[in-house]
Amino acid sequence: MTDQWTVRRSGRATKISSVAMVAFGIALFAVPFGFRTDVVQQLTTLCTLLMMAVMWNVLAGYGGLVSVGQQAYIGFGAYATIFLTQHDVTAYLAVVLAALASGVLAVALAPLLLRLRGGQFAVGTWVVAEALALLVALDEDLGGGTGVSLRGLNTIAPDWRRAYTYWLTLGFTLLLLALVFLLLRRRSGAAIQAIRDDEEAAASLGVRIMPLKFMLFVLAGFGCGAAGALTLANTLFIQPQSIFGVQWSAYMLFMVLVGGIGTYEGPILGAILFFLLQDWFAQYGAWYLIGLGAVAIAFALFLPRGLWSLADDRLPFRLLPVGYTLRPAG
Amino acid sequence: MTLLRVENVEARHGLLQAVRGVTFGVTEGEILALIGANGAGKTTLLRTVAGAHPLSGGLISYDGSYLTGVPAHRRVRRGIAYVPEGRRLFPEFTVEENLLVAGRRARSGRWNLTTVLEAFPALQPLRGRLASRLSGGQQQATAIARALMTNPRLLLIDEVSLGLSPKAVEEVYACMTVLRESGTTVILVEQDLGRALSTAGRVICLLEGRIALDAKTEGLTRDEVVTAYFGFHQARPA
Repeated sequence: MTDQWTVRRSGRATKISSVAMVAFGIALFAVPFGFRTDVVQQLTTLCTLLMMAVMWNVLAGYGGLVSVGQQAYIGFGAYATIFLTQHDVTAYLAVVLAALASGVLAVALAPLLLRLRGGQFAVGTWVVAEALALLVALDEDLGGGTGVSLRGLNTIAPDWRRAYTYWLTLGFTLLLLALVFLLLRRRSGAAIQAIRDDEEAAASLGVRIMPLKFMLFVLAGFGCGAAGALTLANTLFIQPQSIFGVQWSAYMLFMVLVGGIGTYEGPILGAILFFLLQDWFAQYGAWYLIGLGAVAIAFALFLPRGLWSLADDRLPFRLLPVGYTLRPAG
Repeated sequence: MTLLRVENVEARHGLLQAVRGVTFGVTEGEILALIGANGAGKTTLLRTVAGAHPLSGGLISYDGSYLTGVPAHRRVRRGIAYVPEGRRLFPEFTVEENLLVAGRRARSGRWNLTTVLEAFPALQPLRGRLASRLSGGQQQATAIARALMTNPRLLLIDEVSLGLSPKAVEEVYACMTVLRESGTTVILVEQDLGRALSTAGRVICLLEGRIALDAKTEGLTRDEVVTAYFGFHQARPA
């Protein structure tokens, strides 16, 4: 007779690292009190990139839904913020409402897009993004093709405006990270990753495919909408061809691929790396983009599990308790 | 008691009709082997019962109710588990994670992590290993153990020994003893006729989508099997 087995989600080291990460996240709220405003603005940019990376990873890394059209929600979130401020909603409340509206847009699009598989899904999401960009460009009230500024924030002193935007962005980032964590912690976490690996095999084990895909799709829509609205709050001006641009999908793909697709920590690492590369090399224009592509290809060929795998393979414990470990009971 | 009833079932792959008017029943606790040449319709029939392939005609009833329109995940909740061809483990999951995915909404029953690891002791030292790093035999054992975690009454196993070394086949067929002892009803698709006939109590041979033979394995002659398998009488040596 063998021992009884029990499932453990975390050990002592994992609990300590989890608490440290949460404490670090909360401590980041103090940044505006100790750093220059340009640092605060840059950290806001980093947070929006991180949100996008985490959301794309939720879709592609966990759900196997490779989207090249998440810019639809980024643009929709930004333009919904413009629309709401034009209707006398205060700017920061508009950002929150725009994020929720992006989630609603995802709910509406899900029945259409989730019917598609693989390449069809990727192309379908891109088509939706392009269609939305065209609709916005045709609407003169939203600035047409020339772009539009966010009103309502110019009455706030620049230092405080940047701090408020940063706090809201950090709040959204932590919220999204917490939602993804909870998703993976729950029983649905393993089911979601099973769908990614093999949809038919997952269904043959009792996993409900469509409700889980729907949940991921809507969460990613909400998160990308929030990222778009906060990008607008950070830059104060948008144009349809840039905010609905496919480059956002390329950036998300880069961050997730380089960081480590299908891992919790990978996209965070990827977003930081991408932010630094953008900061150091963006002035090189086309060569910078070529360099990004080359790096992504190199990672896909030589380190397909991303940068995080280098640390993960060496750590004797998981940083966050999102996996399972069997231990003999007693 | 008849657990599964397949009545005049038809299934297609586009214009190709893979299963043509197949009718048979399976009683509780029975081990049934589906045999036949490549393209005979065995896998399609098994997938149709599992809900992984659409039914184009006929009816399938399980435990007294029809399965028409019931999606695969609901069939699992009713007690039908499916081990697909090629094992289809989740490669990025460890053995234990593969088992836990199946156990997350399992029916109540005798199978849980402890009993499964007890029944498959070879998996105990491998529980932390990624599924992609297992040998073929270990993968098949994990796939069967994973299906058992759903506490099935009817277990469908496709291509039990395909692509496995003789030693791995031995290991996998040791699992069949566990299944027989647990009283689980099993339909297995097997290319190895010797194995199929020695394991199952009954055999159905498909030929071009139709049943060419449905008989108890006990007393079945080699000639009868060969005739059904190839669709012609073997010439006897003079």
